[in-house]
Amino acid sequence: MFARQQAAAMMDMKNKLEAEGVSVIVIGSGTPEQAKTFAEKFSFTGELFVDEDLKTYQAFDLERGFFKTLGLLSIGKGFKAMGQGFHQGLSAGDLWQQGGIFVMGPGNKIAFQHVDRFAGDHADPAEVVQACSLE
Amino acid sequence: MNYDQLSPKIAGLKVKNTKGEEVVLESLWKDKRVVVAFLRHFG
Repeated sequence: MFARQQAAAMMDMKNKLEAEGVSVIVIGSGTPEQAKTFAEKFSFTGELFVDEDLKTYQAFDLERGFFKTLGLLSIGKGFKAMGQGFHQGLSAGDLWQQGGIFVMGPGNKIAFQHVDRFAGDHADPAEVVQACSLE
Repeated sequence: MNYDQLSPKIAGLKVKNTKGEEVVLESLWKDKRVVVAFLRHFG
């Protein structure tokens, strides 16, 4: 359910940032076909890429593990997301891999970074949007 | 993490677009600011 929730948040972010010339790029752990299905299903119109080997996830020091996906904090966040109308669909990709969000560039710059410590531990979208306009 | 720490780890890394074409990761933000969101999984 968190991926669906995140897709909705990404679209909202994209709409806010497009006018400032900032693109929203999503990288997933499934196949290109699964990415295409994801975009169609959730009407996601941002740039979409996949990394089946999870090499980019490792490079960005993102978390991976059974208890990070199914720990108590995640289950609590899951109930909250369900309350907001997001439900778990059939998952495509590596279930134990956690995500994160970064504001990159132009060039060799990291303007914002957030590594999800457990499933559902997403960055505050307002902070991400704010980081995009800071120099 | 700063870019100097990240740079050697992402050197040469590629991701695939929805058509299955490979794209150099760093080229995505070479000339512009981007938000890069890593999803746990699709679905």
